[in-house]
Amino acid sequence: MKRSATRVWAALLLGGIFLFWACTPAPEPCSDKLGCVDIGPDEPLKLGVVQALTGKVASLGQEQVRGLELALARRGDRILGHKVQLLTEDTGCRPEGGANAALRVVADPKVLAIFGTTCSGDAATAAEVMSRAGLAMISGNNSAPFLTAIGGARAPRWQAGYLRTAPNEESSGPAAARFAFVKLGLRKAATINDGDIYTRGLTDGFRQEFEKLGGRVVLDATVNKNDTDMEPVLQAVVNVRADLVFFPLFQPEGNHVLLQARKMPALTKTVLMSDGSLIEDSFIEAVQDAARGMYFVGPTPPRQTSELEALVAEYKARYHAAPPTFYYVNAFDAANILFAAIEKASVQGRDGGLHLGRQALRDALYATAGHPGLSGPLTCDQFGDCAAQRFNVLKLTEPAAGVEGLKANVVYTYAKGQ
Amino acid sequence: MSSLSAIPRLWRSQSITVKFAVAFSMLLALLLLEALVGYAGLQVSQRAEAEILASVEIRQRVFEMDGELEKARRLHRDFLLKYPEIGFAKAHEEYFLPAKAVIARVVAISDDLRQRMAASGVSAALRGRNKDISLYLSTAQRFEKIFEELVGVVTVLAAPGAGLLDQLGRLDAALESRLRASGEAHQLFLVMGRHANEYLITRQRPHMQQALNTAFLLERGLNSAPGLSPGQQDEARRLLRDYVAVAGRIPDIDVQIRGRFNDFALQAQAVDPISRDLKALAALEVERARGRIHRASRLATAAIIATALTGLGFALAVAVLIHASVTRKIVALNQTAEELRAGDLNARSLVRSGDELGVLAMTFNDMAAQVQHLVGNLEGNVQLRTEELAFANDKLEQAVRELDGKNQALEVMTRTDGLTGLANRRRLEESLLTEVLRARRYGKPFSIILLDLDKFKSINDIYGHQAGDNVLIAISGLLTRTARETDVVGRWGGEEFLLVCPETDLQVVSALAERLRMELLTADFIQVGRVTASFGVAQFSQGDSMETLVRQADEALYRAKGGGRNRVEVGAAETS
Repeated sequence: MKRSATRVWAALLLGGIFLFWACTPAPEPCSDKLGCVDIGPDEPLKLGVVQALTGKVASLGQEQVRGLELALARRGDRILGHKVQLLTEDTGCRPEGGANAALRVVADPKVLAIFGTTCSGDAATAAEVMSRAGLAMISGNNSAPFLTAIGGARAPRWQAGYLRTAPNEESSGPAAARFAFVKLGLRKAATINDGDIYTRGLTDGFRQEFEKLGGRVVLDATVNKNDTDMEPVLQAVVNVRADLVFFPLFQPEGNHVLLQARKMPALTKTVLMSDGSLIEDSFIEAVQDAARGMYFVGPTPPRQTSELEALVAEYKARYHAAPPTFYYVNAFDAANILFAAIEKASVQGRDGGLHLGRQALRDALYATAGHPGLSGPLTCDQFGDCAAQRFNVLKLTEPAAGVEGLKANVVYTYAKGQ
Repeated sequence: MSSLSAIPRLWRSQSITVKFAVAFSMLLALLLLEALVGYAGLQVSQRAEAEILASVEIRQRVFEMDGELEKARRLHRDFLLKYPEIGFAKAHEEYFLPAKAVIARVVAISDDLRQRMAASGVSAALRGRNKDISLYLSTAQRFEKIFEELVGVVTVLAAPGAGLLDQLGRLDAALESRLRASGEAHQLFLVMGRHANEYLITRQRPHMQQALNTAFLLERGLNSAPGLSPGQQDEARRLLRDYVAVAGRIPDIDVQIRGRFNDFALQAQAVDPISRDLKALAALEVERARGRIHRASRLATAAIIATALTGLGFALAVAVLIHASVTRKIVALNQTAEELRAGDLNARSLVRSGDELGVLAMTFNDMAAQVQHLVGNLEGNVQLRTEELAFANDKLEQAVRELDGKNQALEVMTRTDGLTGLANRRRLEESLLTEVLRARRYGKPFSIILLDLDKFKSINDIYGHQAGDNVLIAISGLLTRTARETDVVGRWGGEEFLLVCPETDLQVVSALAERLRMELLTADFIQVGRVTASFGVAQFSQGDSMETLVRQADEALYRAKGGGRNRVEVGAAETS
């Protein structure tokens, strides 16, 4: 009797050891060609945030971060039960800043993806670093055609794993050109970029479309960032007697061009046109009446829906201010696409730990289709463009009405393929 | 409580072997515990030493990596500073290629460093900085890439001959020669050149834009420029367009160069804190590991001392226990045995235990009881035999006493002269022999006096032998009284007497002999009256024998006789 009891205890002990061994989570084997990330049950889920947080466009970078924060807040700041840790790096809206910020982020092997950038120039260098490291990256603000696709083909700075919810401004330049040529009847145009791939992409798109329509781009000038004396370049515009100046610049260079142009009598009748980077209250407040009569080409704003109104309310509640632009909506959509892709690509263990393949995450991002974004339905293509290309040309007639007044004054709408 | 009280009972019931085994097992366990504590302390120290070594190596590698990167930066800076002076080809060879080699080393070192830091020999804090090393590595690789790009764009801008600056210079010179005599066009050309130079000095793009604007005006003005043929105008226009194309590219190249420099600055911002932090962290780890060794050493020392003290206390406890269990019982048994031996047949051991000593005590007590019983029966017999023995003993002692008296009388008879009661010749010879041996051994002086009564034969003849015997007896008394206590006085033979004087030199013995002569001379013998004697004295010298000494005294006596009697003569030592 005693011996049989001993045997029972021994069997129970062995069984317990076996069960403990069997229940201990073994590391998931990784078959993903880009490698895998394993996140322990108590570990946070790490995301890199690479945005322009200093400099003249810091407000745009901040809008991107806010869009991300709002999306996170709706999920209780957790994804698949894991707290989300944001590793935030500043690019300063400079290409070299993008690369170095991305290097800092990808140095941590636990980072799943990068949310960024603000400026397209940063995106080109950051995406290169990101792609080489096998990560994924999504932006709610980049719009330079060079980053994804031009004319239905892979663009020069395309990088695998890079996606965006801001519309490719491949059509922004053509929209401006078509409006100038067709609606305004202008035939001679000058363009001014700042050497950045974003502004250069816009002026190139403008030139190609304008010349295709029969017009002439008589000046393709470049100013440097931080230049303040715009008179020489405007004098060049005068010299070539351009009817229109298309200058898709950021602040403050765009401000200087406008204000100094208004002081030049030879440019009184010259049409001035910029793009979405100046559709900001801060710009209108800075230049005020000088902007009257100026045109802007920019993405069609999101449709006003109850969901969008709810998001605006959340924005105001969280940041105690009204959103200065609608790019935070693109950021919100980009963040949600990223979160959905992470959820789709992750394999969650019984203990709550996550196993995620990097290529699987990219695949999930590229497979995004019909995402009900607040900026519109989003479907990502093979080049990383997720938003439809639809642009409005706006005319500022009443500076006092601010951005809202400007956005309401749509004088032309251009949609790719239509 | 009952279990506690059972322990002493259980202990008492164990055999001595078990008690010793338990005691020494516990001592051995303590020794093992001490050894384990020492071993654990050693292990901690060894681990900490390994961490120190790893941290020092990491710090060394960081220094090395940092130094190499700094060297690469210096080479990069020197390349930019020197190429205008020594030429691109030489600068490429002397600075660019070495810089690439140095960066390759930085990459190798940082890769090695990353592997070292991933190893288990370093602390968790250092392992946690592995991503920093990854950043360092990728930044170093980026430095190499950007450096190459920078050299590329600088080459585009400033390569001798083909560089934009040289091209601009050549075009400027060509335009100068074409437009020198063109009046207003030349003035515009000079203005254009001034703006371009302003740009090259300030690198402010608006200056170059002004140069381009002036070029635009100049091109328009060429049509009406005086002194230029249509062909020259076309040539000048072609040169001007080339000038504008080259000048328009220079600011773009400058922007690219500035971008690369900014990149370097950002790289430095990224990696400089890493190497600084890593060095500090590695140093901190070394200090921590040292502290750990120190603490482990102190802890191990304290533990060893504690276990040693505990061991000592335990050893004392074991000693006390063994004393109580073994030694005290043996002493008690021994004491009982002593009492028994002393005759106390009622003595019994009080040792009570379950061990071998308890059994021995019980056996001893049984034996004592048996002995007491046997002794009680034998006592009467012993008393009877004792009385018989006492009687026989008395008789024996009486016989012994009688025998002793007879022996003493015989002894006197054999060693004493029968007439005078002085020492006889045999005893005198024994004394002489003893003194000779003493003198030889210890070097003590001794002397003898040999005296012979003068004309004693005539006394016998005149007064009869009885009177002679009376004289001899009286002289014996005189000699005995006059001689010292230590002197041996004896009758040598007939009317000759010999005195053996221990520790007496010749001078003293001569004086003694003289005193004896005078005493004799002044004595009045019954019936005979005055009697004289002749004396020969001699002192023992080393080499003398008893016979030679007596012969010296005898010769001196003979000389005294020959010298008229009643005198003292000193014997001369014999020469060998």
